[in-house]
Amino acid sequence: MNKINPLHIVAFLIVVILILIFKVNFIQKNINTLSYSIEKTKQSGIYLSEIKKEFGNKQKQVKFLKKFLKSNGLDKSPHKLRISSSEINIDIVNVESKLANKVVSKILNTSLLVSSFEIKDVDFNKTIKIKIKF
Amino acid sequence: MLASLQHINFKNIDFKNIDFKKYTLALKNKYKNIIYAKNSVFLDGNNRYTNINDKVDIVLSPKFYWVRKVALPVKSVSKALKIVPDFFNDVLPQGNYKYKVIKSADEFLLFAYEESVILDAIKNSGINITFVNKIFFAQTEFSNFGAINVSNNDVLYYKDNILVKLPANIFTKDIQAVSIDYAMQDIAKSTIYITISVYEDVIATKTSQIVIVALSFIMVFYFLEYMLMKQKLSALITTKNNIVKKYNIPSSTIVFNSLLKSLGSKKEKSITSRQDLYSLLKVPLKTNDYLKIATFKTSGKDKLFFIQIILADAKNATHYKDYFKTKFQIKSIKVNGELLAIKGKK
Repeated sequence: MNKINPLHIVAFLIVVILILIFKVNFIQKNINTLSYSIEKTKQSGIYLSEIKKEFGNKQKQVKFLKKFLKSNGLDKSPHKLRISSSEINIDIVNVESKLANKVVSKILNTSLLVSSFEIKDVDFNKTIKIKIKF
Repeated sequence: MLASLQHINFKNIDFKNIDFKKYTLALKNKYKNIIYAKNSVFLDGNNRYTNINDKVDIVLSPKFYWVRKVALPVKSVSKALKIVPDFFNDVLPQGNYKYKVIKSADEFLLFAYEESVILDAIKNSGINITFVNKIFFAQTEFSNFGAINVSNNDVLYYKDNILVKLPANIFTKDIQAVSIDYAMQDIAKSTIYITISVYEDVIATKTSQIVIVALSFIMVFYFLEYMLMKQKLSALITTKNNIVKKYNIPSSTIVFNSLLKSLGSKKEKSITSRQDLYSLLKVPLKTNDYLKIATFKTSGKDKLFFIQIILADAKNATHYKDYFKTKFQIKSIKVNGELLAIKGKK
């Protein structure tokens, strides 16, 4: 007869089930790995995004400093702001201690890479030179 | 017909003149040749076939089945199959019967048979069960003949359109009967046949069916789970791609890690520089002391500093020395009158 032996069907089904179990386990492992990877990528992405905001945007840093200097009247001669491709140079000449403190406080509390800083006292007025690296 | 069909040159066919019925019949015959065996035997339970080494079709003697021709209050064969057992209840002896229904005009031809009986008869006739191709009912195969001699004593005879096996001696007059060998040679097999569960002995049909159904359910369950997981995986891949897109993460891990390292190092340097600068500028000045100069410079890995403090009292120098010692590495300390100069690095 052309009928298939039920044992063959049972064996076939068992083989298919085993293959499916293997595939399900394999895909489950992939899902776990991917879920972990997604979480890690998300954290890295957030970190990258934040750090980029802080240090990856030259224009933003320049804009911020210009705005700060302007708001404190430090954007005009004799004060100087020089911007090159790799750094920013700020010269603040002969300002009162209060304003000097404000500048120092701002620099210390902003995400800037200060590579050089100099403060001099001349007759109780302060002259500050700051070099910030991009 | 088949040969002519195989040699048709389709480019030269005039389709208007084609007799499609002929070609359909040829295809049907070709199909028949595939599903039907070349040889056929009549199974009566009295013959032995020891020389069969190839596929064979079997025509069952009426002694192996019960047949009834009835009008049923249903239209389809599938619905008729459900009520067939009731039509045989009164005539069949105790047994495990299977049924076959054929619709013929307004009536149904109902067959009942026992697989185990047929299987035993096949085995007893010497036919290897694996060679059995299809099993036909004599009822549907011998309609071209009025009567057939199956042995010296028995005749197959259509009575009221039902083929029955009768003793030859009941006929008072001579009847025109052909031999069973002749009938088998001239047989035009119908499309009505049955198949038998050969492996019934190996596993009870019901048990095997239950196992197969259960395994099928498990298979379907795992298959669905596999499909769902595949969908989930696909959704996760999309989510990851969206995150990569949203945060503008470089596709290359090396580039990404390098970028993270570079920006991370910048951040680290920025924080430590500002912390050191804070330590330098926020030196706790004694009363009447004041800061003259403070410089801070990064040079490679080192951070160099220089500070000048105007002292109200030269003794205060120790205080500043102690302070800077805890924060930096002091290179030199000079006290010149009221001027304290400290150089160092970190």
